[in-house]
This record gives sequence, structure tokens and C-alpha cells, in this order.
Amino acid sequence: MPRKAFLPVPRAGRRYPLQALSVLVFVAACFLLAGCSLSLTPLAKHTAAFSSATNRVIDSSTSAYRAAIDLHDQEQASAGVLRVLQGDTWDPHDTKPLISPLGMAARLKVLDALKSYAQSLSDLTSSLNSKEIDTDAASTGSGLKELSDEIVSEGGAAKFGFSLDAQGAKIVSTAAKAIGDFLVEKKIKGSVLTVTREMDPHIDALCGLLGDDVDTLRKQSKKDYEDLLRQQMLYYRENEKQLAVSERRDEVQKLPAILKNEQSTDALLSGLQVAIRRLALTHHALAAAALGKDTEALNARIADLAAAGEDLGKFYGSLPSK
Amino acid sequence: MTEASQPTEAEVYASYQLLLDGLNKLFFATKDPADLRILGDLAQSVSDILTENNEVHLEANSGIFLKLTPPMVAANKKLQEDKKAVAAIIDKVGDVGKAAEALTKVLELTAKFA
Repeated sequence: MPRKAFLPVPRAGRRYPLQALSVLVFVAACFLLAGCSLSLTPLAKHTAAFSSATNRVIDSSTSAYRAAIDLHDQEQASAGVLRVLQGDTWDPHDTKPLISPLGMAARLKVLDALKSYAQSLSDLTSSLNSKEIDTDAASTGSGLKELSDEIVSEGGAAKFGFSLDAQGAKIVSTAAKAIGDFLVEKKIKGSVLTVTREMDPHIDALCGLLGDDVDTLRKQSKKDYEDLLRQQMLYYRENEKQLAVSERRDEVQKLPAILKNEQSTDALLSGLQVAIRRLALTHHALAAAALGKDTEALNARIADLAAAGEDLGKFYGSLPSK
Repeated sequence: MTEASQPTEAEVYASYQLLLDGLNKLFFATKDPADLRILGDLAQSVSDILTENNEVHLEANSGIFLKLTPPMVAANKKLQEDKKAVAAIIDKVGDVGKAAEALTKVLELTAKFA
């Protein structure tokens, strides 16, 4: 058939696989070059930092909710006790939580989902650093080398025109790794880009809502502490004549202790508001960086968020244990 | 004549807070228990109004939190699927090596019959 004339005539000893290998290595080199401009390592570092800071902000938010609820319970109990001491009635069952159990469950659910989201982003981008791909690529090279050795030992090298030494196996391994890395990177980049872009308005809304909640908790906590101060002072004034000097001293000393707790809590909640705002800005920068835009801005945002997270940790560390 | 605009929720809250701050200041400047009791009760009433407002505000936010949960859950599901897809790609890199090993075994077998 005339078509056959265009086909190369096979010759003994001709090494097609080596030509194929050259093409493979060339393609791999192209993938590697393409991969360099999309390097995942900084993205993996950024998502890991984002996840770690997000965890801290969420843990602090959860603690802030619980602390505000406990404080409000304490304020209601203190007001009730004072009423009883003044001869009035008080039913402890009338104590009402600041946030209903259902409301708290709704908050915890969405905060846990945000934590999982940040963790999943970090897990996904760390896949490229996985040793598994290196191991698999190495086995590809050694597998082909074993195949080559087998053919040579059977005297088929000339027939098949195929031989692969240790150096060749290494090249195949490198090429396989480059292709694997490229495919993985492409998938991860695409995924991070899509997910962060779609999630950005939701994260923004969630951080806005969380910030609004913390603003309310801040106002309520301040008010509850002021109520406690007033109740303590009223208790003291109404009973001071019946108290011994040391007891009077102890009761009055409770006032600055309450005030100190009020100030620490306010500072903590104020720090939490800053951290929540930074969380939204950092996610926005993360979504932009996945698009290849302004990675410098992301570095700055990550540093700001990490600093806010550290401050929160210090605040909690400085609070007296109950 | 222009109609006076309604105060916002934040403005009403701020005016109650201002009243409470004033009552608290007066309270701590008073020594007589009877006066303190009157001022304390008054301050507590204003404080309760603010608490109620905060509780209503937090309860309203609870509904919005619930609405935000589905997109978060969907994103997490997608990320899990993508993670599996990445693992499958990594497996395929290893599959080339496995195919070569299988081919070696076939050649070993066919060599016996050559």
C-alpha cells in the first residue's frame, strides 16, 4: 500500500524507546517549567498559616461565647441572691441564657465548618509535598529498568531496540514525577481557585456576622460586669454594719477584682474583633493569590492574621484560671 | 415642615446606655443604702432593657448563622472530592511502574515457550 512508504522501516538495534524517552523528558521539562510559575509551596505554606490562624480565631470565638453566657448567668444569680437577701422572692429557674442552646448550636456548627474548610484547603495544597508521589515515580523508573534488563537477558535488546540503564531509569523517574507533579498541581490550583473564589463572599458574610455577635457580647459583658459591681456595692452598703472589719475589707476588695475582669474581657473581645476582620481580609487575599494576583498582599495579610492570633493566645494565657 | 426621622436601633441603644452610665455614676457616688436601692433598681431596669435588646439581636443572628452553614458544608464536600482526585492522580504515576512490572512477568512467561 502506498501509505506504507511513509512509515519508517524498522532496523535492528534502532532505539525507539530512547527517542520516546527524549520526548518524555522534553515534555516533562516543559511541565516543570510551567510548574515553576505556579509553584505550590508558598500556597501550601499560606493555606497552612491560614488554617492555623483560623483555628485560633474560632477557638477564641467559641470561648468568648461561653464566657459571655457564663458571665450573664453569674450576673443573674448575683441579682437573685441580692433580692433574696433584701427579703424579695427569686426563682433560680427564671435564669435565662444569653444565647439559646439552639442559637449556640447554630454558631458552633458554622464555626466548625469554617475550621474544616481551612483545614481541608491546607490538606489539599500539602498533597504535592507528599512523599507518595516521589515513591510512585521512583517505582515507575525502576519498573521500566527491570523490564529492560529482562529483555536484554533474553537477548531481545536488538529485536526490541530497548535498553534502559540505571541513569535512564532515573530520567524516567524524574519525568514521571514531573508529569505527576504537574497534574496534581493543576488539579490543586484549579480547586483552590474555584473554592476560594466561591467561598469568599460567604466567608466575608460569616466574619461580618461573627464580628457583629462579638460586638454584642462586648456590650453585654461590659453591662453585666457593671451590674455585678453595683450589686456587690449594694450588698456591702446594706450589710456593712453587721460585718467585721476583715469581712468588710474582703467585700470591698471584690469591687476592683470585678473591674479588672471587666477590662480584661473587653480587651480580649476587642482583640477578637480585630482578628475576625483580618480573617476575612486574609481569605480575600488568598482567593486573589490563587488567581495569581498580588501574592505580596497575601504575605502581609497572613502575617497580620498570625499576629492577631498570637495576641489572642496571649490574652487567654494572661486570664486568671477559674 | 420636614418630618423628623425615626431614631435608629443603634441610636436608641446608645441613649439607654448613656442613661445607664449616668445612673451608675450617681450610684457609686451615693452612700445611703435606701438611696442606693432606688438607684440600683432603676439602673437594673435600664440594664434589663439593654439585655433584652442584645438577646433579640443575638437570636436574629442565629437564623443567619444557620443560612451560612450549607455553602460551608458544600465547599468542604468539594474539597474532599478534590483531595480524592489528587490521590488518584498520584496513584496513576505509580500505575506506570506497576504496568511495566506486569509486562516483565508476561515476557518471562512467553520466553519459556519461545
